[in-house]
Amino acid sequence: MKAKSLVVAFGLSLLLYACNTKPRQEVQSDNPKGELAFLLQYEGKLPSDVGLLRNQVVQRRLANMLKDSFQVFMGKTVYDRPIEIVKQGQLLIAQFFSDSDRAMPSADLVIDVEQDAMWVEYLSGDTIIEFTDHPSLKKPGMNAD
Amino acid sequence: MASPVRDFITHHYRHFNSAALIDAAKGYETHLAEGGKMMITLAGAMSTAELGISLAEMIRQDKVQIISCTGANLEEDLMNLVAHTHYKRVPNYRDLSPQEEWDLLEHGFNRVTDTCIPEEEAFRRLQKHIYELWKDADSKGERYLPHEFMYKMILSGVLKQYYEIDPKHSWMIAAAEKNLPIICPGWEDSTMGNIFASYCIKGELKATTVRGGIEYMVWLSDWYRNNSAGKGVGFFQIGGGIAGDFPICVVPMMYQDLGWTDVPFWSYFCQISDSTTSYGSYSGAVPNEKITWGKLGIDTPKFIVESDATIVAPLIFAYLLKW
Repeated sequence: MKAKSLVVAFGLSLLLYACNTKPRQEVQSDNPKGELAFLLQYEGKLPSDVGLLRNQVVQRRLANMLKDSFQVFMGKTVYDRPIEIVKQGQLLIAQFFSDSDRAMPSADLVIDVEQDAMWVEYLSGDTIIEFTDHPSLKKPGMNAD
Repeated sequence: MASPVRDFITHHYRHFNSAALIDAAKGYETHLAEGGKMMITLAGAMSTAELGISLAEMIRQDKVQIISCTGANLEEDLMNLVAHTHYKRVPNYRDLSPQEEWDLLEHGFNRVTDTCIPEEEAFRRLQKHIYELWKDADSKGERYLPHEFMYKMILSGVLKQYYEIDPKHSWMIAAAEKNLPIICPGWEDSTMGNIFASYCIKGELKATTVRGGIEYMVWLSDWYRNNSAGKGVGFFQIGGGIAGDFPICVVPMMYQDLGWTDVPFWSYFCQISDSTTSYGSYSGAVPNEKITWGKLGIDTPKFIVESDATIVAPLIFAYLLKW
């Protein structure tokens, strides 16, 4: 009888714990991946809708990586497409466009959440300018899983 | 439809602070057009300056989604509403001697630059009604934020008998009718806050009946999370002080103290202030300083109009309202 009460009390306390936990926080604190892993929740959403480039972590990482080119990159992100998550949830891809027809990407952002690495490419004239904060890593292919 | 004020400033305001005013107004308009939301913060004596004439219309036309203000601005809009004819203007305020200042006090006037607030007259009309609401909540064990008590008083209609201005010119009435979110940090530093404290000292009310600043911050963090998607929330700061600094800190609070990494920066920033850039002051800090505090991003559009807010704010609102 006593053991049964203990089991019920334990179950109840687990339930109460679950009720009192803010779900959004839980996603972040329990995630074993790096500080960019929370971005996976944005799959299928437009970067402009979720404030991807205004996010503090993303903007800090971009600013540190791009330095003086940060504003140039931001200027090429006027239009966007929904965020893709590929490679079994490891790779986030965001493509940006200077023109509303979205025919030719003017910039892209690739984030490997497992390796906590970021790559940026943008067009400057006919030249593709590349940046990464993990030069030792090869930029992953962007094909789907 | 003709927009004479908007057309005038667009044509004439081309340089220096006047150009900054136009840039800020255009930025505000673009921000709203792209789906953004806006917080307006009120410091100084903007309610006594009757900003309500334009701000109330901004509220009615959904050009502001949340207001942060001092306790003085919260109550002084109502004081002007119920005691407007008793206000006194002192255009020669610079020439007043200490004795003349004393005489104003003796006649129940509190001076703000050239305008004397008839505080006794105004509070004679407000105090018994707000006290009834405080007392009622206190006896029921209910607790409300300062602006919620004000909203209850306005919406009950008990003040209508005292109206001395067109109620369309009261931004508090416009806000109450829309149930616009208000943040009122440091409400304790106001005449009503002082009166409330006096009832607490006399043992008639419990201090906890009026909810406090920390509860405002907790509420604001939730509001910001729910409203910062997409284009995000802009920050239009009139004056400086706690009305501005308290709510702007919700962003670094969530990011740095809560570790909520998916929080975007404020997405527009404008400050109207007559504080010039100075040393160690908050109002006199250039907007880029806010980047170092985690409040604004590198690319957040930033504007500062270094001029008298009683001149600048109605012009920017007129531009947005196409007056």
